[in-house]
Amino acid sequence: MSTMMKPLSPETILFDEVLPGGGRWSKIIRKGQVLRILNTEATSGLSALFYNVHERTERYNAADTVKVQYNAYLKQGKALYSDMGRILMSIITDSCETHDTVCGYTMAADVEKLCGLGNYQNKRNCYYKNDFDNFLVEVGKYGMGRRDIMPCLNLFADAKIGERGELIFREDTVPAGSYIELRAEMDVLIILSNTVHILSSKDTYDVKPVSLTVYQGDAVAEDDICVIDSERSERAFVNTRNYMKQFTQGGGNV
Amino acid sequence: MSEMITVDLTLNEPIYDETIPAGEPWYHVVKAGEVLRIVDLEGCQAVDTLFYNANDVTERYSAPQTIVRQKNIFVETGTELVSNLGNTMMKVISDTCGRHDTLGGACSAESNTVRYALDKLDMHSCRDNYLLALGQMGMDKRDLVSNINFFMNVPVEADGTLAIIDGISTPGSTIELIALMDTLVLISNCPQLNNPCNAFNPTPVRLSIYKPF
Repeated sequence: MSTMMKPLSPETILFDEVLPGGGRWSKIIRKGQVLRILNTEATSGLSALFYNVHERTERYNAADTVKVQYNAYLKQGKALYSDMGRILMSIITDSCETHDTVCGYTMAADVEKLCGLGNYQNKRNCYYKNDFDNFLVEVGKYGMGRRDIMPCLNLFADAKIGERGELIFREDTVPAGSYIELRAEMDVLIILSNTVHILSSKDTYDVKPVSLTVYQGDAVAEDDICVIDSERSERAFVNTRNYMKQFTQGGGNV
Repeated sequence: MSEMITVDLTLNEPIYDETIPAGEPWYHVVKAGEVLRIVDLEGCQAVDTLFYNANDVTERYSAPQTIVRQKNIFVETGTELVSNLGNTMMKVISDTCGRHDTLGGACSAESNTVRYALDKLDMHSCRDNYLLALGQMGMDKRDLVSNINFFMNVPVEADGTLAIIDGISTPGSTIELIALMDTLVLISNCPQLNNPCNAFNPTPVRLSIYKPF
């Protein structure tokens, strides 16, 4: 686990943005680029969906991600798998190793039950957003809809599984300043929704912002920790690189 | 867990009763109030199952919402299967196995290449069964989400380690689900030969539907 955040050369930075509490965000990130997510104020549960830009029916698959890696939890060296035996993004750095692959998104009724009615009429632009509606709006911008919203990943959320299969959710265990870096191994459409976690017990809608930086990463080394994580990750990289060859014919960089 | 629903099925004749060979897809609408019974005839056979609202298939089973509703990853008697819109689709009214998986999803040709070896691409898989059945119904890959694996044992250890180990399902293990909405049930009777989920010997299952009385 690395705790020091590497300083970035300004010329490598493509975007540097803040996603406010309640907000939704999407971006296409090309192979080799890195999304750094800095949890500046210790928010709990940033929900994320991932798609292959070129074939959006290929998408993040929570089941394959945990099954291929034989672990329900994610950390540095692990990867986000698609349903096609390929890696969408690798976790090249992770300061907190506390992410939730199981609990999914909130809906309007979940947020209202927890925090009360927070509609536009009474809250104006601080209205209480929820993940499902955020996802519908954001995937809608790419011509997608309800059928394209699959079980999501919740970053910075401390949801564990007990020995009898029970869910154990703990609030405020992810410190402010935690960060994770996801390197695109394919051209990826990322959708983010920054709302409360479905298992949160806080009755105020007080979601903190996160900082999002996209930068050009280094070439993937032969001994990259995500490549050599296991024989399975090595095969997944073979599959992924073979797939991406179609976009680099003629030497062009995609 | 909400109150138990008890249904005495011993008095009824099934309105549907078929035995499905290993490695086959199957789909059928179970109407609201009807009961689907799945019998693992020879034991240790994973039955990969998806659920859709038969009247609007964009509403479908959601593993996360099912898990969060009962705050537990295992399906057992009393488990409500929850849709992506938060509605209860079916409820488990009896179960003699006690262990069914919600995390592992379905096997696919492509994931087999990663999990086992690159040359496994030609082996039969649940995802191919699903794509065939969905294609026959005019649906497609966008309709595939995480499924339930009935009779499959995937415990999670303290460090998150996920094991696909020998099932605890014995010959004749039975689960019964009552439909709370008209539910399109899509099954792949798992053909996986690379791990113990089918005891390395995929076998038939019996599917019966009972009318409410």
